[in-house]
Amino acid sequence: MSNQVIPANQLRAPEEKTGAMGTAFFKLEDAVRWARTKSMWPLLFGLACCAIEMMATFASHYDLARFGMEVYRASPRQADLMMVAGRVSRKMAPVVRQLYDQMPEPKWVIAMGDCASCGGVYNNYAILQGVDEIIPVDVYISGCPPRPEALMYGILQLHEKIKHGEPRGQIRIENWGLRG
Amino acid sequence: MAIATPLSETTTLRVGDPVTRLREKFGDKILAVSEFRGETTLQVAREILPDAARALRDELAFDQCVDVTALDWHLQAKNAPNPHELLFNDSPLSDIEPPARFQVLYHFLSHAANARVRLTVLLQEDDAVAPTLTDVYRGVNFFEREVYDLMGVRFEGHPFLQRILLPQTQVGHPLRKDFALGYEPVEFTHNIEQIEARKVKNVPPARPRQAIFEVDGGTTEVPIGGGLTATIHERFDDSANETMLINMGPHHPSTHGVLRVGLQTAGEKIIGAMPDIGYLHTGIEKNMEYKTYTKAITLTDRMDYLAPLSNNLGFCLAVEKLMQVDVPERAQILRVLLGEVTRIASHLVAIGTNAMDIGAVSMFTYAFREREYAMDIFEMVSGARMMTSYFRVGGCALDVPMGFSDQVREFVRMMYGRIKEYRALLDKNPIWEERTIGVGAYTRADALQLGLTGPMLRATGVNWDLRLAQSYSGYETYDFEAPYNTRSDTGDIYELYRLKLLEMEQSLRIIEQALERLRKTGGPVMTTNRKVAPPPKQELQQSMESLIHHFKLWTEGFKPPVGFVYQAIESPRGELGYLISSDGTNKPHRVHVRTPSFANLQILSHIAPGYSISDLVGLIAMTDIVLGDVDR
Ligand code: SF4
Repeated sequence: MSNQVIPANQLRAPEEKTGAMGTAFFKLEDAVRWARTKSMWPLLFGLACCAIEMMATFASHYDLARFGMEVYRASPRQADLMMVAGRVSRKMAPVVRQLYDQMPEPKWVIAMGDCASCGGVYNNYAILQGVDEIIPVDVYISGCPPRPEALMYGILQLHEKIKHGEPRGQIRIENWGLRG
Repeated sequence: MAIATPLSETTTLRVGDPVTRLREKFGDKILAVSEFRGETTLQVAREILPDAARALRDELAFDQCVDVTALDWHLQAKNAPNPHELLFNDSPLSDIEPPARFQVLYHFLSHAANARVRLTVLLQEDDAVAPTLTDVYRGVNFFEREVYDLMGVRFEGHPFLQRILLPQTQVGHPLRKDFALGYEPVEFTHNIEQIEARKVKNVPPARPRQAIFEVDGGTTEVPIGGGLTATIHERFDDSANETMLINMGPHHPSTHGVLRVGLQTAGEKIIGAMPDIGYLHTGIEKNMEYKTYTKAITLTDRMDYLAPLSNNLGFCLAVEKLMQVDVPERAQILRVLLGEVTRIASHLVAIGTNAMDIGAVSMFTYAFREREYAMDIFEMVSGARMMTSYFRVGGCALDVPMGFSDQVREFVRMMYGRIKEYRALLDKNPIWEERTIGVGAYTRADALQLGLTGPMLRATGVNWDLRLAQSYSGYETYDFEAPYNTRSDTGDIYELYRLKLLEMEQSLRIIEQALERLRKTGGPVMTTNRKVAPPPKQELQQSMESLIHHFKLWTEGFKPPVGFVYQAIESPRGELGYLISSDGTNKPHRVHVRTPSFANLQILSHIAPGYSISDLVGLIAMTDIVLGDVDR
């Protein structure tokens, strides 16, 4: 048992919980990536309607703690995931950009909802047509607002992406709860 | 504590008819009077406006100025029919030379007489200045700033006439008709390279991006976010140099969104607080001018996102008032029923977040647990959890599905028990009492002056609920009451919490009665007026006329008659009013939303001084603002 080699991505409970996991050999890089997905601290940051669904996601019913994602940090210095939940107005844009810059590397961004992804139903003087105009986005989630399930799926996709060490690129989650 | 006289008992106060009284007093300075859909509008000369407002307040018991807004008649006078000229046919815009461009509207409300009246002044483009009413009603402060910001009308004598919603660097006034919507073209392409090209390649260092605004056909480039701090800091006199200026928000976990408060503190104690809003300004009012009436409903959802159905209802009622459409009985019942479920869901979030801000996190998880059941109900009727757009002009989008009543009945049964649970958790909780009783106390006089409505007004002992006083959707036929503070005439955090729980119980009562009626009432949920509502599918195959109606409705929508109306409803936060001005086309000429959060927020700078920063989060939660509702 103790010499058994377990690939990093196959570590499973109950060994994880008891700590009786034996010895595992894997690339340090993989270990770090795996650890990152297990200790993500999102920034407690909501902009508009989508933030209410984000709150619902980490509240009692959907319970984001199941994915180890419930430790929301109010300070950008302690966070490594920014969920842009809502529409970004031109007045708010510099603030969002500043928050992003204040987050330590490595950091990821989820654009939650149509507004953050592409401006949504507003195409006018006040709203930024997608938060990717000011910060790089890793995962886009469609929906107005996306259902909590869609947000969770998006987060899991981000975990996958980090585990596989994919270069920064975009994942689009479509056809999920298009009707909010 | 003095025992308050509930306002309802003073209704014996005789108030004269405002039109006759003002005519007597100001003679020919009252230029014209119109009656339209039961709304009285007096067009007055600009110079007597403050005096007329004072007369309304002191002699005629119009104790609140609920709303100030403006319309722009640019280009309108020549081309399209003009509501103003139709309403006041003895006073065309071109009476003044050159023709007037702006029309500022003031809405006054009298609780004692249960009446509304509107004053209006016409202003020319190069002389768009009106006297301020802030001396008469302090609550118009934010509203006048909003009109200045979005319309460019100046108010002489206003204490702080600065942009309120848009960044200080904004050029132009977006709600003017010659200001372009300013959209970016949408790329309809499946070519992934083209889409990728839009992505940020090299992210520049933290430097505000440049924003491009279109003004009068040309473009101006201005840095966004410039001058963010200037306005707040200018406001405070810090010559003694012993105080600190602290910036709270717009990114702060307890400001309920992107509210920013500029604070001046001495140690922990707050000396001055000034809300800075507009970080969620979405341009919804402008966008609505480019949508047909039916499509505009979807935008209303997204303003007060804790109570989307109330927003739908207000808009639909306003259009129905303009078009004089009747709504079938069953739709009325559904509107009441779902409106009250919305109220409960909204109050749940309000109480939950209020308690969480003060430290009682478990209340938040309880509240969100119950909110899910309300979301299930919305999802059942519309397919969407939050943005339902379920109410339409003339009725509701669809009939409710099977099993709806059972679900709602189950919800009601559960909620009665859960409210008891909340009471057990908080009512006598010493920490909660310590942090809320007497905190943020404000008086009835302040509430009336500052234009507070809804629970915030009732907490000061005013028995005023639009569902009862100026009933709509058949609320008058239900047996319920609007809880208000009967013990004193000051409101505080605890009183608001108490009232919200009581209101939820009353809402449950209404829902029970509505369920009973729903069982007995069949029939359509949409009006049969084919000018507004599409014909049912089966009819399309049989009748050519139905086909035409259907085609017309879906291609160009309906065209309300020329005119403007104001319709107010009691949203969970207070008076939610829609002013819709129609020029007879299929798109509104102007939609203005009088949102309760916008007015209620004004109390913050009034009550915050003297408290510590940790109390401030409770005070913000007390005002129960939704930033989408404040900024639109
Ligand atoms: S995507 Fe929809 S729900 Fe989300 S912020 Fe935009 S309008 Fe609101």
